[in-house]
Amino acid sequence: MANQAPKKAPWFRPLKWFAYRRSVPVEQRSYTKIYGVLAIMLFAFTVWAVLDEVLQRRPWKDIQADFKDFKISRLNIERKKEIGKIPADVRKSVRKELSSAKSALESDKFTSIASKMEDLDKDIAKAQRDYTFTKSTGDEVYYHLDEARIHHEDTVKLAKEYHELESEMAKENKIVIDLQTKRKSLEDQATPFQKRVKAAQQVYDSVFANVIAIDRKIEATDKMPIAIKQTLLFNYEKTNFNNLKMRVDRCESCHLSYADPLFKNDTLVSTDKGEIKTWLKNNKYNDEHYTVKTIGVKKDTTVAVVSALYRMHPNVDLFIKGHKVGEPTAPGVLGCTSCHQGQGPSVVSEEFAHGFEHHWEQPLLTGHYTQASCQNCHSGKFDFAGAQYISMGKKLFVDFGCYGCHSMPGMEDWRGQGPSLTNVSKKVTADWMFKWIKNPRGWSHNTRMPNFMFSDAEAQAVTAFIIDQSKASTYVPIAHNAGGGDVARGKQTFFDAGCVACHAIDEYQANSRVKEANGFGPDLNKEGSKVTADWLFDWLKNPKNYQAHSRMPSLRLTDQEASDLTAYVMSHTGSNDAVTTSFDGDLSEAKVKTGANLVRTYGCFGCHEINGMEKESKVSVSLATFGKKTPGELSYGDVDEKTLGGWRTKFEKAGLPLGHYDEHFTHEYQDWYTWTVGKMMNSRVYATDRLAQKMPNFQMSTEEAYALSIFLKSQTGMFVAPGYGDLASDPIQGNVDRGRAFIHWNNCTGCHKVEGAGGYVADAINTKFAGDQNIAYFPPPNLGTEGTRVQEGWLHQFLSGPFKIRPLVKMRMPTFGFSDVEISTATNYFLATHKRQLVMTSYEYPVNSSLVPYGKMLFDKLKCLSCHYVNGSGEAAAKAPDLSNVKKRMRPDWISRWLARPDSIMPGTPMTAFWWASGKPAPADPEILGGNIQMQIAAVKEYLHSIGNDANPQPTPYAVIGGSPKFILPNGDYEAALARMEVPDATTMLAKPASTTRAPAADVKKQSSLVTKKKQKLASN
Amino acid sequence: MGEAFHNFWLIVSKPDNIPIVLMMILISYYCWLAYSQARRNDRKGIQEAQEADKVQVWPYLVKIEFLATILVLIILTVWSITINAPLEEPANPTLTPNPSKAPWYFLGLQEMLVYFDPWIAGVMLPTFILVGLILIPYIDINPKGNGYYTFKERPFAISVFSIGFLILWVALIVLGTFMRGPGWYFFWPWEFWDTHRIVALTNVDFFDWIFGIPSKNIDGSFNLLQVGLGALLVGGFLVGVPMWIWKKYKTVSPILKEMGVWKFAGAAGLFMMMAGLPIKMFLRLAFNIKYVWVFGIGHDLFFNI
Repeated sequence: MANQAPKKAPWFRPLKWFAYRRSVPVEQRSYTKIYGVLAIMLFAFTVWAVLDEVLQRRPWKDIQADFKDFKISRLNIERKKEIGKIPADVRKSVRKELSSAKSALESDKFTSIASKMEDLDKDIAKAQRDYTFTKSTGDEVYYHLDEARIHHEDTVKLAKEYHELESEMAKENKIVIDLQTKRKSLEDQATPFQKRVKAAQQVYDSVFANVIAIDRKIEATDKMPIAIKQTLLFNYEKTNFNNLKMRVDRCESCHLSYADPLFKNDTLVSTDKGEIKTWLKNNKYNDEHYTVKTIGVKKDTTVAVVSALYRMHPNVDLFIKGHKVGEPTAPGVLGCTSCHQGQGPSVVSEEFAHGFEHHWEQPLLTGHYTQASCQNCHSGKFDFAGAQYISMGKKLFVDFGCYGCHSMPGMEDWRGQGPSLTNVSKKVTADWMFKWIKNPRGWSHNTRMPNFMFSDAEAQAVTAFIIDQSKASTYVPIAHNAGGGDVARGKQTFFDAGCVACHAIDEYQANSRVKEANGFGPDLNKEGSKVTADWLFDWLKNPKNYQAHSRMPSLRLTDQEASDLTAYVMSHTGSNDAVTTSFDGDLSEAKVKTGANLVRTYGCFGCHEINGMEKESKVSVSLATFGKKTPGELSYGDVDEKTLGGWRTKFEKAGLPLGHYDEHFTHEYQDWYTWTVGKMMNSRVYATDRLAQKMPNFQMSTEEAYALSIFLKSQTGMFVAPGYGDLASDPIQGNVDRGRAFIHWNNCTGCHKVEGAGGYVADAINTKFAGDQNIAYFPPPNLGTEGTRVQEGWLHQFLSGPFKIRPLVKMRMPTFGFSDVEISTATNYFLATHKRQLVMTSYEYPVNSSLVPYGKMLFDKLKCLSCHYVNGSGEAAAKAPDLSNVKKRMRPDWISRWLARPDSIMPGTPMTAFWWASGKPAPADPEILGGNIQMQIAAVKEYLHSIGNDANPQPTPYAVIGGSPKFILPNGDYEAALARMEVPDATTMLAKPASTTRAPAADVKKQSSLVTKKKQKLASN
Repeated sequence: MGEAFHNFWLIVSKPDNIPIVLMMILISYYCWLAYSQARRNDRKGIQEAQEADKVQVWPYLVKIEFLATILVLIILTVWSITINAPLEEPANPTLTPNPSKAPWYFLGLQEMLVYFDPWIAGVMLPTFILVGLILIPYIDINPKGNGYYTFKERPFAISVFSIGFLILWVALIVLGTFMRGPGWYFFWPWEFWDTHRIVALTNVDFFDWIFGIPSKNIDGSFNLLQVGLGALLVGGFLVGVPMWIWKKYKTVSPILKEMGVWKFAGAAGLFMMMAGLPIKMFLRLAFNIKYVWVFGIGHDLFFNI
């Protein structure tokens, strides 16, 4: 062992220092230095802990302080601008007057008055105190006096004392009054000085009003306490254990500028870097306030984007005010995280607050993914204002028929998107079918039919099955094409009858795969090579003859019109360019069986009606909570990180940034967003040699994939608390939701504007006539006000068989052949958009006959009949609707409102606003009824009622087939159809307004199943 | 390699795992300290060890303990400033995290679940651990080794403790913390914790493996031959081996004499059970042995070891 004792060593050579220390006996070791060091350290770290807690972990304090400075500097810019608006000489004179008025207060005269007043005030105060004290003493004496009286003691002395005090009080009071009179005369001397100052100040205040307002804002900003700002959302969400819970959003603690118009200018795009520099300087932005990016192909454009801490929220009216954000805490108020997600309560750091932390399940939605939140609360909407991608994504989801294979809340019982295949062998050839199945987009680029990537043999088998199952069809075209159609006339009819609203052909090409506008129906560019003229003619005359549930309406075409249209459409031919092989004609049993198995595997019946496959269930998984899936639940197949990263970059470059991805414990780019868009672009991309995938390839563009991924992101099964979103259980909201699905399903928006969206046929009209107003091509009406405009009974008649309203207008409302339930869905929807429910109402009322003659006078004087017509006379030349059916058509209250302001109800209407002139109400005639506007309008209304028809309008027949008019009859089986047309009992309908249907298709299914049951019953009897 | 290190670093630097890293360092240090002192004492002679290095508790020990308190306070302060509390996502009754880990001090028990049925790993073995610890003062009749470090005087006790505590407890905690990833699969530190990882499951029962005797008949009933062999094997291990030792050494060994048959039976039974764990682990890891003995009564009572 060590023989020599270790030597003493300094502390910075710790080993030797310790060795020496250990050689000293424990009893002799000194711990003073160690204790000193440890004590200092403990103290220092305790201080650190306090500083960390107060400063480091409260970054919002710095942000708020910085924001205050910045806001004040911005206000100062505004202040300068406001001062600049006042002419210099005005400014100068106003200021001069104020300062000279104020300086007069400094003059000897005024100061001597002021000092005298000051002395007097002191004297008054003293005299008043004397008086008060005497009075107080008097009160005490009086108390004793009173006591003495009650107890029958001697009162003389006390009474004397009290009277003395009273007289003293009177004296003292007189002194006070004298002094006050003196002061009054001094005040009169001072008044002119003060009046002048006051007047000058008033002038100054009015001239500098805006500046003063800004000064107040600056003062308020300066005084703004640095504190956490939060919104409380009561009973907003549910915990994982199903308890209602409050949510707290503290986003405003850092994002103070979100509703302040002062921060409106938040981006500048320019090719001139100098301009950007000046802009940033003028707006007082410093380096921390903005980021600069270069964009453009040549990288020559610079964008300065101001940080979200210093800019206003876009579209404040819609997103902030329209959603009650930032209002005083109350039920129904939405905070920020309702749409943006993120960790609302956290204010510790940007990363935590935005929820970019592995364990926070709702990180901030970035890119355009915030739009996914719209769907949470407005689950029945299709057009989301200010959110184009969720609108597109939702429509694509419906239009691609995704719900045919995947179960989806609210779409469980919707009819499939594709056409029925039960009669298809009577429509197309087997070879066409084979090529179509092999590659649908080779035939039509905009088709929604996906590519199943079948091999030739598989496609052969599927074709054989499809042809085979429809072989037994009894369909025969009832209406026969007599020929003699004219292509040019057909083309005109195609436009005039409104076919362009749904179909793409020639110059009217669809540019989207969303089922909307003329992308709604099939693309007709090659139709002549697909169907026969006979089939097409029959189809045009009566679509329901071939396919009972077709969405194609009847346009009530004459035989000549139908022949012309047939000739026109049949002149468009083409081939499926992508397929070179042909159908082999083999319909052997074995092959058909193989085909049937393939159809079952791939779930063709999800979209198409197929004989014998009516009861199959959906072939794929539910997507109800797909938006919540974690990377671990998704399979990436053989796709490597580089490819995934490539997709991310691709979307980024296309201006469609994918959401934030969490790199914690996953491979790079293995995140929900990349997986989803990859799958959308190529549905089989994650297939491996072990894992076959069934989903057909929709070959989506980046935009389509992006929009759909946003819709899928919204599928989180999120609980929406009552009062925070559209409640599907609310009867009115339910009617609105069902109606929206109905509107989208039938492409009403192809022609009409509904809830501010749609009316696409107007574009075709504008293109054709270069924007010229042509009364014959007046666009179909805006249905935004339908629920307040027409009578429910009339609407029912009109929707069951539309009749002409404007004789000159060529485009016609088609006959859709809606069932009563569908019509009530539409009626209820129109009413519900105005928060109304269907109530059986009679609009009959006793006409005020004394007003009728005045109405007639006005009617004639205003020349109503120059556009309108009554009872069929002048119908041929009339531009405007028949007025004889107004009584049965319009709500009386609406007529008054319409007459008063037609232009505000329906902008662009040709109806003249007779009672409106130069921006305010005005009588249409100064003399009639004494120029009383209300009375005049009422008179016209009464007159219109007095000339109205009492008869209810009769629906126009659907088509004339075989010599007699027929209504909507599927499959030509008129008797059976008539039997099933049970008009629901009005009282039961009212008791449960349209609650039997979710989607337009569902009720038909139910009805037909009812009929089947009835039939079975009959058979068994 | 960079990525491998990244993965390893993510696991090691996880706030939950920092105490485990510290525990490894501290336990290594104190073991080294104890063993090296024991070695020194054994060399110097016990007499000397008993006399050297003894001081009064007051004030000399209390002084040092006070300083140690301050030091620990400093460390905890710095720790809590620099590392955030390791909170995870909100509890969700419908979604278990993957991997689903017990608190760190139970990871040894959770590791046992890999090798035994839950009622053995979760109920029986922990009970025997507690019972064994309670019984130590009654079983241990060796009066030596009090107040100083020594190995020579208690070789058996210290060896059993070292294996039992360091390997079967601490090492299993470390294993459970750093090497059990998603699906409770084994991952080397440099391997990425892939949630999609697939591991071949090819476990067979012992007698099936060694003699080709299946544990169950085709109709699902127990194979009586296997039940018998298993009973022999397990019984021989737990009872037979101690009996053989008792018979052979009871006259030779003074310790056994002093213990008597009951104390010996208790100690030997606990020891064999403890030894059973690493044996089963070895059989599983090296030969994919699922059970050594499969036995049960009815549908509810199973005795799979």
